[in-house]
This record gives sequence, C-alpha cells and structure tokens, in this order.
Amino acid sequence: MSINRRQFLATTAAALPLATTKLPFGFPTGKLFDALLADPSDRVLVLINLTGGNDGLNTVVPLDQFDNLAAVRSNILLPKNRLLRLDDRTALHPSLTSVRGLWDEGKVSIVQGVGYRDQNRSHFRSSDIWNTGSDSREVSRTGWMGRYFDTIYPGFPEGYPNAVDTDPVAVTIGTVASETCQGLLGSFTLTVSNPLSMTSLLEGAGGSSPDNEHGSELDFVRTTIAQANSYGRAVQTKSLTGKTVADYPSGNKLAQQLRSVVQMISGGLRTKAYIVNLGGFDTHANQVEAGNTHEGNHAELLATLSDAIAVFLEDLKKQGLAERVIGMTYSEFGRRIRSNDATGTDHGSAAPLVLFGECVRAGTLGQSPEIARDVDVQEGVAMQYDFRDVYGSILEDWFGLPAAAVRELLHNGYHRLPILRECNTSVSDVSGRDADALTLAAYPSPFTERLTVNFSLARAARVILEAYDVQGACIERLFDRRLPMGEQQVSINTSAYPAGVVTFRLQESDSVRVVRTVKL
Amino acid sequence: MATTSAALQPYEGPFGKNEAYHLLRRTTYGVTPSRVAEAVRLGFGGTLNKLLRPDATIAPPVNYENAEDPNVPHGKTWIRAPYVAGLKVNNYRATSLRNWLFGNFYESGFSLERRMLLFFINHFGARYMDDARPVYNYYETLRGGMYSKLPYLVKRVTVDPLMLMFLNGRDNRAKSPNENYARELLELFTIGKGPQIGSGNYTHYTEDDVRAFARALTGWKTRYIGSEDATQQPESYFSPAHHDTTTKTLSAAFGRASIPDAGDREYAAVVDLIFAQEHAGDYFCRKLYRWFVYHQIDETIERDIIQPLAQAFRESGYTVSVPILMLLRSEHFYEERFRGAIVKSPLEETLDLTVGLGLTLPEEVEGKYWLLQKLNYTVQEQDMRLNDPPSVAGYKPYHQAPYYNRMWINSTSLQYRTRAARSGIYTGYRRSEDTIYKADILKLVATFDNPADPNDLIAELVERTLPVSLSTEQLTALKNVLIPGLPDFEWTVEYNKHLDDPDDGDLRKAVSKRLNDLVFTVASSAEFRLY
Repeated sequence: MSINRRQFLATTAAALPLATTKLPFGFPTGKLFDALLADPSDRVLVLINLTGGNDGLNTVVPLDQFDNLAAVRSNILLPKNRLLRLDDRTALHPSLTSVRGLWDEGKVSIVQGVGYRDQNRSHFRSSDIWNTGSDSREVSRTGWMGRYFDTIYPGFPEGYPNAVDTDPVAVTIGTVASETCQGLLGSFTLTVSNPLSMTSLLEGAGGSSPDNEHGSELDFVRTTIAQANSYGRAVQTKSLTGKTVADYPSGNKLAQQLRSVVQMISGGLRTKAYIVNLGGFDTHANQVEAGNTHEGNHAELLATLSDAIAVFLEDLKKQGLAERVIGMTYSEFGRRIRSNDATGTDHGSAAPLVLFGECVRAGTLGQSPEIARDVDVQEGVAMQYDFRDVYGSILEDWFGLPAAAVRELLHNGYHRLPILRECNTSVSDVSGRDADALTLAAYPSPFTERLTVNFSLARAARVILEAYDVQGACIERLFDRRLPMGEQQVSINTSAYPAGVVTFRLQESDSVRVVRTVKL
Repeated sequence: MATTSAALQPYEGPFGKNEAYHLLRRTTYGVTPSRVAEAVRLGFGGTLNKLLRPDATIAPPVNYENAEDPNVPHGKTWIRAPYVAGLKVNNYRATSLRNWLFGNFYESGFSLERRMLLFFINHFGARYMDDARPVYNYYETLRGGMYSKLPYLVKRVTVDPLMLMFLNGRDNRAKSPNENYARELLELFTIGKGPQIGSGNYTHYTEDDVRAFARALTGWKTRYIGSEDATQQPESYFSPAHHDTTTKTLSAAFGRASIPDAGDREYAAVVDLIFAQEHAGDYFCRKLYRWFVYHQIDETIERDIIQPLAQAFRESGYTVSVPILMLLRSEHFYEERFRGAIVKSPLEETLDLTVGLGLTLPEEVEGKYWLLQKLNYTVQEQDMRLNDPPSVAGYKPYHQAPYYNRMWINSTSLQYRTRAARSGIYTGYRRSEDTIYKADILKLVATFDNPADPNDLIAELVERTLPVSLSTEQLTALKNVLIPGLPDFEWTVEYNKHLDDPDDGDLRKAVSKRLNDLVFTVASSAEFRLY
C-alpha cells in the first residue's frame, strides 16, 4: 500500500511532542494537525457561481414542510414521489441524482439558509455582496478571495509572476474575470478559455506612461499583456502534461469548464482557486414545465450542475487528486417562497449552499426552512448562516488562515462553521453535528406590543439574538453576549416593529435556530 | 438656463486632426481619414451639428439565405412578413437581424446615432427573444431615442412587446403582480438606486414603490408573436381585466404621491412621476459621462460636470441630446488626459481592424451578411453579443465598478483580439477559395502623404490608428519591424520599385509583408486598445 505525503507527515507528527500545544476547546484535533503539517499551498478551491438566483426550495426541498409548500407554490411544486430523499426532513430535486449518489458517499455538505443581514434583491448589488464578501450596507472594491490573496502576495500585480510564483493565483474559466479575486491593486485571476491553447501576445517596446487618466489605463493594458503571456505560458506548459480520465458529457457546459480545471490541476498548476459559472437561474417565468414540474428549465440546470460535479469528482479521484480539492456553489439569492403565476419565482432571500469533495463534512447544517401557510408574497427563506461564515471557515480550515485574520478580512462577528473535516483519515463524520440542544420559541404569535422569546442553552456560551423583517432586513440585534447554561427568557418591546412577518434568529457558535412570527 | 460651470465651458482651442480624431472616435465607429478630413473642413461647430443630425435611414434587414419563405424573396426584408406554418422561417430572420445590427455599426457614418443605438441597447438590456420582428421594432424605437426626450423613450420601452416579454411585463396581472420590470425601470432605466438607508429603502425608491409601480403597470400584454397572419403584426395591448384599478400610494421618495387608476395611460403617469424627482437625471448623466469621457467619477467631476449636466438635462424636459452636446463641446472633453483613456470594446476594436483599415462591406447581399456574421462571431467570443446583452444591466464593463471598460481586457480576450488582428491584417475572412475579405494594407498606405519615407509612413499610421503619439523608442521599434536593421533609404527603394512595377507579384508580396507586420505590431500595442 502506498502512503501519500500527507499521511507520511501525519504519522511522523504523531511522534512529535504536542504537550506544549493547547488544543482549542471543541475543535477537532485533526484540524490542528492539518494546519501544522499539510502544505496548504497545494489546496484548491473551486467556486461554481450559479448566476441569476437559484431557487433553493426546489433544490433542497424541506420534506417536513411539504404540505405547506404545496399550499404556497402548487404550480411549481415537485412531485413528492420523485424527490430524492436525504433524511426525514430533507430531499433533493429529482434532477440531482448524481449529487444524491455523492451524498451517500459522504462527499456533500449542505448549509441551510445561507444569506446576509439586510437582504438586497437586486441581482447586481447582491452579486457584488457575495463576490466581495462585504456587509450589505457597505460597498467593497475588493473580492473576498482577493483580500485573502493580498495577504499572501502583497503589492500584487507589481513583481508578479516571478521565479517563485510562476502560476496564476486564480483562474476564471471563460472570458470575464471573477470579482471574487479582485485585490487592492489588481485582479488575481487569469481568465482561461482553453488551457491547452493559449495564444501568446506581442509585447511592444516600452514607453513612458503619463501620470493621468490615459496613463493609468495604458499601464493597466500593458501589465495585463505581460502577465497574460507569462501566466499563459505556465498554464499551457503544465496543462499539456496534465490529463483528464473521466467521461465528460459533451453537451454539459459546466462539465466542460470543470474538465479544463482538472486538466490544469492534474498538470501541476499551483493555482489556488478556480471559478466556473453556470447561468440561467433567474427563473421569473417557466421555471418548471406546467403540469410536469420535475421538468423544465430549472430541472435542466440542476441536472447540468449535478452531473458536472459528479464527473469532476470522479476524475479527481481517479487521478489521486481528490483530497486536494473542495468545491462550493453560490448564487446571489434564493427565490420567493410563494411562486408567481408564470410558473416561476421572484427574487428572494437566503438559500442552501452546497460544498462538495472528499474533505467536506458530510451532512446538512441548519434547520429546514420554515414555510408558513399564510406566507407573505414578499417573503423569502430566512437567513440562518451568514455567507461570510462559510467563506471564513474555508479560509480558516482549508487555507489555514488564523481566525483573527478571517475576522479582519470578512467580518468581526465571524463564527467558524463545521463544514470541512479532517481530511487524511477515512472517518466520515456524517451525524451528530446538528443535534445540539439549542431551542427557540416565541410567543404569542401573532403578537402586538410585546413578545417573549424562550431559548435554552446546553452550555454557557456567547449568543446572538436578532429580529428580521419580511424582506430579510435586520430590524434589530437584541443582544450579543455571553449567557449561562439553561433556560433563558427575554421579553421584547415590539411596538416599533413593522407589521407583518418577523423572524427571530438565535445563534450560538455554529448552531442557529430561526422562528417565524407575525406582528399584527 | 443654469450657468455653465467652468469645467463645462465650451472648448475654444484649435480643432485640427487630433481633436477631430478624438471626437469622432468617441462618437462614431471605425473612423476613417476621409471622415476626419471632412470634420476638419466643417470645423468644430459644423462637426457637432452633423453628428447630432438624424442619420439617413438604414435599409432594413433582408433575407439573404433562405429559399423557403414564400413571402420574402431573396434580398427583400422580412420585418413585417408572417410566420409560415410548417416552416421555421424565424431562424434565418434571427441570423439576418443579428448581422444587420452589426452592419449598423460597421457603416456608422458621420453620425452619433449608431453609438447611441448601442448605448440604449446596453441601457435597456433586453435580449433577442422569440420572434425577430418585435426585436427589429425595438431597435428602431431605441434608434429614435437620441432625438427624443428620455421620458418619452422610457414610455415607449415600457409597453414595447419585446420588453414586455423580456422582463415579464406581460405576466404582470392585478391578481399576481410581477415586479420584474418595475424594479429595473427604477434601478437601471431611470433614477438608479441610491444608498440603502433602511429596510427595502434605496433612498430614491423603496421596495414598496417597486410593488406600487408594478401594480400600476399591470394589464399590458403581447399578442401575435409568431403570428402566421400578415395583418396581425406582433404588438402590445392593454387588457383592462388584468389591470389593478386600486389607487397606488408611493413612499416619501415620491412625496407620498398616489397613482389613481388611469387604465391604459397609467404607465405614462408612472414614468412622469419618476422623472418628477429632483435628481432624476443624475444617474443617466453619469452613464453618458462614462460612455463618452471616462469611467471614474470623483467628487469634483460629480460637482462640476455631472450636476450641471443633470440640471440642464432636467430643464430641457430630459432632452437626450442636451447633455450630450454639452459634454462634446466642453473644454473638459478635449483635455489631453482623456485622450486614449477608454479601453475599446470588442466591437470597437474589431471595427478598427476592418473598416478602420479600409475594408468596406461587399456590395452583394450574401457576401455582406456573410462577413457581418464572421465579425459577429469575433465579438461574441469576447463576450459581447450585440443582440443579447448578458443581463438586463447590459454589458458589465459599462456598469461594473471599479474597473468598468477595463473589464473588456483580460488574458482570454487579449488572445481573441490577437486572433482578430491576424484575421483582419494577414489571413482575412475566407468565404471561399477565391473570395477573401481582408483589409488591403498596401492600398491603404498608398493614400498616405508620403509612404515612401519610413518615418512619415509610421507617423501617419500612428496618427490614424492610435489615440496618442509614441515615444522615440517605440517609433524606432516599429521601424525595426518594417526594415530590420536597415537604413531608411532601403524602404524608399523597395517601395518605389513596387510603385514602378505594381504588377510584379514578388515585389508586391515583399512590400506587403513588411507593411502587414508593421500594422500588426501597431494593432498589438497597448495603445491600440485605447481610444
């Protein structure tokens, strides 16, 4: 039996004295081993951007809410008998058969209700928020990955590529650079349409560039040309030594993009992030085929996504690369709970997010979204997890960034989420993570001037309680403080709350509870 | 009328070739020396007048390849021809329309109209859908945009059949409002989004306003899309039964105005209410500024340029040409720092590599549309589908901060641009063994003042193709491409030999190759990507 590098290091490390290292409470010890021993530079993140706003409720279907779903989105409701059941509470869209297979193999992690405070329902603004990883009320000019890369390659693009860093830091497949990789001074991503055939560009004789508007554009073009050539040579040379060994369906646009990614990883390119794109999720109309709801535009998109992920992981596995790569889907928002009359759905709020690969912690994190029968026409799925906590957990657990740095790059209130696992053992940790004793209730419902919230804590912990309105905007943060173990009761003056749906969100570390009420 | 700010005061400097090139590159496509000569002859005022005058109507798109459509003979237009049962006649029409649209820009002439046509295609973001006829009609509506008042154009677009399809306006019914159009109307087509200052409150409007406007716009439908009856042209119509007749109340952003039921005129009231806002013109003027001058708008530009433009725009009843003319005749526009400060779009670069190098469209209709199709592919692979903007916000480089136009340029698009330069200069677009469409560089150079002198030749080539002058070092490098390591007179000798015996194929090839290399080098420069 062959032993790979990381296993070798792990074995050796076991013999090293660890007594001086204090293990942080509640964190899997394996993470520490990884951080100490694995070379984080060989780890790859693949982002799949589902543009348009994916309908999360028809992707990961809350089985425990099915009757209510039937009441509020009957014209697009998926037939229950065709759903791919994950557990008592959750099932997948019938098109996601390949993902269902991966779920059985423990390679899929689903995070429920991912979104942000103060939902913005514009595609453009919301995409910007997701790409930059910013607070929804501030405009950031850098991408969330770009800020991370700036900590490793300060001053980029000045001085890059060079003798040590020969390869592009990130690659976007296609012709438009992903904004996730925008750094302070330039974009970290090379765009590649075919890694095996990169045309080299003529680099003209220099000339000075004036210190004005023209000069700054000129410098930009010159730098891009020089970098494109240098990085392009690296991409092509290495990709030519790489290979793909799985059978990629030719009609699957996303699979073809992921094939290029495998070609590059397999060729030894030391690129940390690849961004691919699947568009068409803005399903205001004809999301499903009328009367045949498991077919239609959304079904085709999900089949494309599912098959692409499966063939991608299969190829990586066959080439022994699977433990180096994780993937994540993201979309600018979920859609409304109530469907519209055009067999479609309008812009909503939070949605499930899927991570995949050998190293994800399999299972679902979070609750099924609560669907009320009297759901407001404006109502989207309530947020459970801040999207920046997903990003942050990837930066911390996958790229080895200290939590303090994550807070600085993303947000102060960062909570690490258990979405990745220690990756060089065969232990598959699929259960038990959502079995916390955290509970939350609010009464009376509906309420008027006052409302009482009850919750219980299984341990003394720091807890956040927030109230949200129907559009996903935060009405107020009631508290963020440390509380003792046991039953807690809070009485809230709600006279200033807007009438309509109000959602309370309680977070304790990575556990979140959401409860929906109505103010009269 | 408001007093013009210092920055917007009219340009009073000389109007020579340099200024004419700058102005024409920003207002027309594929600038040729003859157009520049005409501008210099007309002078500053005459040139602006000519640019803003309505263009001669372009011939409508024709059937150039389909033999089956019984209603549309070869070479005739299909824009009002019905569908035919059992035949897929719309396929050839869609292709014809796409290529015709490219032709609008290829033959842009001495007029701002075509550049503003693309401005509005980008501004309203609707993509090709279903039936080519309403799409053609939509383009013609947009073409009229630069000669009209913006509220009028927005009203036309609001009930345009293509727009009703594109943003689900036809699904917007009293019983189930669809807010897709109302949202983009506010966010992208008129006042734009301000800072989010509260739950669902974007300063200029709120989520409740979106819903109120959506309800006011209910009842509009489309019919005869794909109709097989020539008397039933695709159109929009108002269906009172689907219209929400309740009174809609708006937020404080609109002074808490209410919209009483006004049936099929209610959409006009919606547009008028939007333009009644104090700063309704700001967003549009910023867009114009980015389109014509530079992408970055700092506080000074906002105060000294945008605000005066927007005020004049408002006072003119939002006449589109008013802020445009103010910009184009301003001192600001001609400042040295803005020359060569916009990254070319794929369309602009492709046209500079074809019509800009003297390649005119073939006369015969198949050849013309064939070439336009090839050029469409060229820009499409660089992410610019002319009849299919990537989203309702248009092309990203025209709206995405912080880099705007720079987003056209990246490692992939540069490779495609390099290939397009090869096609334009070396290989041409090969339709058949004997028919190759390609710029004739030798012929182009023959029109120069003194092509036999390598220094004059290069100087004129630079003037015609680049927005700025080059350094001595760069000019030397270019000469080294033309005559590597040889004294200047060697070029004069070679070129004159060719002129003496133009039929000598070997001589011609030798001179031609050097010229092609020279032009290709210029077209590969960073400066060529700017205008």
